[in-house]
Amino acid sequence: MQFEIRKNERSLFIYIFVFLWTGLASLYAAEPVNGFKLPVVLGIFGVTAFLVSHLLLVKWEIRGDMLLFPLTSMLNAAGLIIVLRLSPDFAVRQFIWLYVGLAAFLVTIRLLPDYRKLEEYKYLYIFAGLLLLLGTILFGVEAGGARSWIDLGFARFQPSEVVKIILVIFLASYLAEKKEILTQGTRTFMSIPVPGLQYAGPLLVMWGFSLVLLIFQKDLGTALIFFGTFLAMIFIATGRWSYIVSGAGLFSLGAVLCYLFFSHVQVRVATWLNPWTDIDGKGYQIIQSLFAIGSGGAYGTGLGLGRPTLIPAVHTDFVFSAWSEETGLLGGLALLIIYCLIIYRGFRIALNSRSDFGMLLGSGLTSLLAIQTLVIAGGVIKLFPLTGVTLPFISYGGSSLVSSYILLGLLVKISAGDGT
Amino acid sequence: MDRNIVRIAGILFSAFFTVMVYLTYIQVFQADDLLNHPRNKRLQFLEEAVIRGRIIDSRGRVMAETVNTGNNSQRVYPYGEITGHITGYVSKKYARWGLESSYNREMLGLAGGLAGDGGWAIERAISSGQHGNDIILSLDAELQAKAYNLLGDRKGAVVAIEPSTGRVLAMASRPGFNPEDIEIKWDDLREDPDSPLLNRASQGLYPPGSAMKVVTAAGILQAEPETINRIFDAPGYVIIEGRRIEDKQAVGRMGLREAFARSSNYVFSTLGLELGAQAFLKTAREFWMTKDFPFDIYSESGRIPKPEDMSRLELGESAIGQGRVLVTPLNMAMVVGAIANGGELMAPVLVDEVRKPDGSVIKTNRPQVLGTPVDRQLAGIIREMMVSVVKDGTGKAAAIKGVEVAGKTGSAENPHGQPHAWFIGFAPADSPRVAVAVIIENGGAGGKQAAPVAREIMKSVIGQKR
Repeated sequence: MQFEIRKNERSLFIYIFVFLWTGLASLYAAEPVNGFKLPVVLGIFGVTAFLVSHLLLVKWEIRGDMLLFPLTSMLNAAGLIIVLRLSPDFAVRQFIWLYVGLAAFLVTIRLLPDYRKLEEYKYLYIFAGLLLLLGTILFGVEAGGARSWIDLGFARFQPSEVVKIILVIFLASYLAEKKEILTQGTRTFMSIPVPGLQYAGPLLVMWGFSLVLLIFQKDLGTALIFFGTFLAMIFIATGRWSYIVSGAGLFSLGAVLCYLFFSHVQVRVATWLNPWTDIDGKGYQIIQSLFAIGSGGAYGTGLGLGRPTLIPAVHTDFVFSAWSEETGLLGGLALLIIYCLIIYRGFRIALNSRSDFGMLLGSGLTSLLAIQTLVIAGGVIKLFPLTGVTLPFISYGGSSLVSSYILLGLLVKISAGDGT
Repeated sequence: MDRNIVRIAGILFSAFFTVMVYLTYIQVFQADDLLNHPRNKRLQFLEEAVIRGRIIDSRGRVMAETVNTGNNSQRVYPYGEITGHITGYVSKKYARWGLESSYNREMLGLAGGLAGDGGWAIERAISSGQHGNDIILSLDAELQAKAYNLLGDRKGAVVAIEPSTGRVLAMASRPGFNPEDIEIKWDDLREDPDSPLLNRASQGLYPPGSAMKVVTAAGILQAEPETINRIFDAPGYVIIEGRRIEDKQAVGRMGLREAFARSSNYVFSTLGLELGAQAFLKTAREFWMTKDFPFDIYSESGRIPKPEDMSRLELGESAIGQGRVLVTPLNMAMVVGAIANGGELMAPVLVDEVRKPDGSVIKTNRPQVLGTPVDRQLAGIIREMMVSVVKDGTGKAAAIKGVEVAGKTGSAENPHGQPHAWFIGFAPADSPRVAVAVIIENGGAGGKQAAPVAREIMKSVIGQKR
């Protein structure tokens, strides 16, 4: 084994293990009645999972980015701690998902011979993506207001989590190929540039795609993430603000139409603008979230000592609120800074990539992660309208964790460059 | 393409920065309001774990405390309805009111030091049954009881303040309610036509009647100092825009002092018209009659129509405290307090200190000057005029043997029957220790009904050792 490689990563993991165990110990100290067995067992399992994954990367001599994995592990450790604090039952399942997620991460890195090969099957992706979405629309079950789940019997699966990644891969390959055409190809009409059909085509397709999501699945958050990522990628490919402007215009148009025709969208907007008029009804969730965050203050109540369980759906959509109540502003900012570091590394990887496809894929995946984090973190603090999406690496949820780890695997793979 | 990636990264990082700023805003600047929001259930959990602090008067008498009776704890108010409007109540069902609401955070031990922020939960975990902080009032519970009893069965309010500091010594309102009964008698109290839940002293809005002439006099003497030497010929009535206002108590030739002592409506409505609506309102504002001022419990601010909405008739009526002018007894106590204090208007305070259970002081409310509506010399002139009201004018019933008392009576016409009886004043006139405002609803003449109540209050404050 080449122990010289990934040395930095190994030293960073020491901090993560200390953090994980401190968190588990705090939870035990706060509520000793829950016993120490579960935290100890989960602590051992957690450390083993990260350590084994790291050692496998070393064994396979993966030379990719050494900061990303420790950073996401830190988030994941915070997630495991807060989910254990909120619900021990969910925590056990989340530790199982951790293993599945890390397996997906390792499989992505190990079995994908060369990420650039991904570029060749682009129409397969769009087909697979559409199939998954169609499946959800036809056979989906509703949970938490959004019909975006497929029930597999033993577990529930949220196809849109995977579709997000498939879509980024598709867009990266499509844009890498069609970049030139998209950048040229404008005629002018009275000296105003008028886009041709090839220019407007993908924009309209994606717009329709997002609207379908929104209308049939009532999943405002995912639609926003899809479309936001798409706009970021098309801008990166073409450098044209006009795409962003017209895209944002189209999205606003779609949003206004949805507002006019769908009551659940109206409710979302109304509760965002003023939840205080209906504290017990529609504004309940967001106000409980604000109470939690506000009550935490600057330093937080301490892990296990707040009352975040007063928020409904706290372990999925509102983990950030729970975390901010118990660890305070300092804890909340720390998480956001870790996300910023991950995103910084992501864009660095994209910039260092030697191919257009690599750049687009790297920056697309990074934008996806960033936008999803912003949508939910901004949502629970009432900066944006609240939409129920998960906080990557932290929220309870298998689909979300597994797809986040696949995303991480792809980024590490791109950074490893030539496909070692 | 590199440049485009950097731009997108820039946009995304700015968005993250915005989220961070907003999170800071919520957790630092909004934290207090959110934690103390009545609908935040965290407070209830905390209240169950903490022994709520006491409310104590200026002489160490307990006005509210939490007593353990077996497993239950109960909030006890030894003075009951006498101090009900001041202490307010605390109830699981009907939340909090009065000092129990405004000093909730302090009495639960959420203010001061680390425990004021994040640390509360840790302390809760370490030791439940922890004591909250006590609040020490400027109020004298015995004086309060006296004021409450002097009102008898009459509806009304008494406010007594220390002019040099603004400290409220008594603030009684009748009818009262016992905070201990709030849960069992809620519906009755709410529906009672006499509104016992209303703190008439700081929330009751009444026309000030002739007590307003103190303000009108201040306004006219500021604008035209020579008015003090003017001679008026009062016909016994006033006619403005065809409306006749009776003025039988002051007929004939008289100077300003005598007109004030005999409460001439003719003279003061005439002077009000000469002063003009703008200057009249400005004077009232300088006495903070229509402005919100900081106060430890809920208070209403007085109302005077805007100058542009005031007809000549209304201005003439407003100058003698009628028309659409409405004020609270606390407003009038502040006006007379400012005159007593040489023109300096002090912000009224009810709470002197917040103390930890071990007795150490964590917060002190210092006297605060709200403004100087009149200068020292003018305050002296008005004081002299007020002294003659009690000496040989309408306020003789307020006179105290051996002490010079300054005052002004008022009988405020109102649509609910007999005029409201007012008396505002202070004593001793040359070095005031107490300023009072008394109103008795539908009591008739202020000199007869309200002045004796004020006298007894002033007498007992002066009789006290300092």
